[in-house]
Amino acid sequence: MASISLKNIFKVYPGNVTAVHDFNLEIEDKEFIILVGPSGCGKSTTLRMIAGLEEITKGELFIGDKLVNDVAPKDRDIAMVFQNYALYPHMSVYKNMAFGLKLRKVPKDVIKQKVEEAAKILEIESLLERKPKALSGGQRQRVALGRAMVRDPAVFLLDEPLSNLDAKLRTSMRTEISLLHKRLGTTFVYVTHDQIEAMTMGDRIVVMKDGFIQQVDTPQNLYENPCNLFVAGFIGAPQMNFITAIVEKAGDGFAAKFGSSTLPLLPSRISPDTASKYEGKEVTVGIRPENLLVASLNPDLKEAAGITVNVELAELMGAETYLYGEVNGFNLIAKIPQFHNPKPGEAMDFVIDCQKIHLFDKETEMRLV
Amino acid sequence: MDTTQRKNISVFRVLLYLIAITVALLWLFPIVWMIFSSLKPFGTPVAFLDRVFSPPFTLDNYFLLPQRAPIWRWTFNSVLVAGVVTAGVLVMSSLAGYALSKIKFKGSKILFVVIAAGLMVPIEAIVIPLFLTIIDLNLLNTHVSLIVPSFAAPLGVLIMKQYYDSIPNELVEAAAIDGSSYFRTWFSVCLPLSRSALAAVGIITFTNSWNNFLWPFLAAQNSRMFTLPVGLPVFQDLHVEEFTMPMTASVFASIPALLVFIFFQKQIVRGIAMSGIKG
Ligand SMILES: Nc1ncnc2c1ncn2[C@@H]1O[C@H](COP(=O)(O)OP(=O)(O)O)[C@@H](O)[C@H]1O
Ligand SMILES: [Mg+2]
Repeated sequence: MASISLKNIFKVYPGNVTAVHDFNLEIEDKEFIILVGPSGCGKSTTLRMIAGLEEITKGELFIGDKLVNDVAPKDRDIAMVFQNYALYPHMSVYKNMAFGLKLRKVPKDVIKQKVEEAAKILEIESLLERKPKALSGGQRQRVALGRAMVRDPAVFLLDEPLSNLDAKLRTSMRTEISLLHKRLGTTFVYVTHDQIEAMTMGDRIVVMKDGFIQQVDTPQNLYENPCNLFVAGFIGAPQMNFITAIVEKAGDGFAAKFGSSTLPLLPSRISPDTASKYEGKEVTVGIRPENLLVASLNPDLKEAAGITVNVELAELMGAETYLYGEVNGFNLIAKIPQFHNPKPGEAMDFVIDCQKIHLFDKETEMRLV
Repeated sequence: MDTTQRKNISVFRVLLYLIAITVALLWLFPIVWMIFSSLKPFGTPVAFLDRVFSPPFTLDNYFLLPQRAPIWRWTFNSVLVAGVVTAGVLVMSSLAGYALSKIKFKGSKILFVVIAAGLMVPIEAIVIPLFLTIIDLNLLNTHVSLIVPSFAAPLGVLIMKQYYDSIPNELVEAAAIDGSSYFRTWFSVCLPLSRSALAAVGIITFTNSWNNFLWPFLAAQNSRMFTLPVGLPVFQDLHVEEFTMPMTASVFASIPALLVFIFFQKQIVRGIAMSGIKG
C-alpha cells in the first residue's frame, strides 16, 4: 500500500533520445492509474523507471514517502506483470509463483499457503504442477498475476498485460483485473495503448504523447473535456470528428460556420469572451460520432445545427451502426443507435448536438474554454 | 516442363548423394584402416591392404601397449586435463557470456570485442610467452600448467553470450524484481535455460582439449605428465619400421573422443551451427 510521486522526471536514452519529458504525477494509495498513449510515447519507460529497471536521468521518484531513485527493484516493494508474461520456462507454475518468496527466505509452509491462496483466487489451482509451455495465453497471464500477488507488494506495475490475448479473453480479463484491484486494495499502475482498456479500468488516466503528459483525469472528464486535439482524437471509438469552421457573430452570441451549417456556440461550451477573440478566425470543431444524430429521428433537439452528409459506407454492428460520410472535404463518422443500411452515396440529414461540441484552437490545438 | 524439372531434381539428388558418400568414404577409410592395422600381428606391413584386411587378427597389440609406455598414466592425465578444462570453461564462459549479454556495465561492448578478437590469435603466437610464464611460476610439468591456460576460451564466451542474447531480458528483469541477485539469476534462471549451449561448448571444449598437442607437448616435459596425444609419437619413434603398434595406440587414444562423438552427435552438430565455426 503506497502512494507514488513522480517529480520532474526525465529519461534520456543513450543516443540522446528523450523518451520522457518532465513527468509530474501524484498517484494515490490504492489508485488504479493508467498510462495510455500511442506506441513509443514513453509509457513503458515511465513504468520501468518506477520499477527500477531503468535509471532515472533527472527528477525524483517517491514510493510512499521514500525517495527510491537509487533503490534496487527488489527493495521497492513492487511487483510487475510483463506483456509477454516473462514466466520462468523451466519452472512449474508453483515454482514460478514461489520463486520471489523463496528468495526472501519466507518459510516453506507460508509460501505454500500463499501460492495456493493466489491460485484459488485466479482459478489456476489445477495447473500448479505444469510448466508455462503447457498453458494457454490466458492461463499464463493468470500465473503472471499470481506471481505478483503472492508477494503482497505495495504497488502493482502492469505493462500491456492483455495485449497478447485474443479479443474475447481480453474483455473478460479486463473485468478480472479490475476486480483483483478492488480485492487486493493495492496501488495499480497499468500501461496500455488501448484506450478502451484505459477507459474501462482506470480510476484516473494519464494520456501521453511523445514523452509528454497530455492530460491526467478521470475517464469521464477525459471524454467530456479533452484538453487538446490529441486527447480528443485518442480517447473514444470511433474517433471524434474534426471539422474546420469560422467563428461569426450571431445575434447576441456567436456561431461557427461550416459550409451551409451554422453551429451556435453556447456559453457552456465556450465563453463569449473567448469566442469574441476568435471572431472571423478558423477554429477546429470536434463532434463525437454519437452527437451526430439522424435528423428525422431527433426532431425536438434544441441547440442543434443541421448538416447533410453523403453516406459512403455503413458498418453494421448489430445494436448500432457506424455511418461513414463526407462533407466539404471532411470525413465524418456518425454512430446511430439502431440498424440502418443506407444506399451508397445516399444523402442523409443529420443534426449536431451543439451542447456536446468541442472547440480547439487551430494552431495550438488546445481546447477553448 | 514439369517432368523435366522433376527429372533434374532427381539427377541433382543422385549426384548429391554420390558426393556425400564419396566424402564419407574418404573420411572413413583411414579410420577403418587404422582399426584393422591395430588388429594385425606385430610387424605386419600395414601398407599392403590385402594383408591388412585379411586374417589373422589378434588383440596382442593392445596387451603390449601398457608394457611399452605408461599409457594408463597418460590416459589419466588426458581425462583429468580434458575434464577439468571442460568444467572450467563451462563455468567461465557461461558467467562471462551472461555478464556480457544481460548486465549493463560501462565498457561491456569493448570487452566483448576484445574477447572475440582472442579467437583470431593462434596458439602458436602465444605459446612461447606462455611457456616462459609457467617456467617463471615454477609450474612446468604440473597439471595446473596443462589445464589453466585453456580456461581462456573466447569461443565458449561467444557461444554463451549469443545464447543468452536469445533469452528475453524480461526474464532477467522479472527475476530482479522477484529479488534475485545477478549471480542467483544466472544460476537459477539463465543456466538451466542454456543446457543445449552448455552441451555444445562442453563437447567442443572436451574434444579440443583431448586432441590438444602443442601446449601439453611443451608444458609436459616429464613423460609421467604426458597426455595421450603427446605420448603417441613415442610408439612411432621406438618402432621406425613398425606401424601396427602406433596404430593400436592411436585407436586407444581415439576411443573416448569417438564415444563422445557417438553419444553427443546431435549436440555437436548443433554446437557447430551455433558457433558458426568448426570447433
Ligand atoms: N533501451 C532503449 N534505448 C534507446 N531508446 C529507447 C530504449 N527503450 C525505448 N526507447 C525509445 O524511447 C521511446 C519510448 O519507448 P517506450 O517507453 O518503450 O514506449 P511505449 O511503451 O509507450 O511504446 C521510444 O522512442 C523508444 O524508441
Ligand atoms: Mg511499451
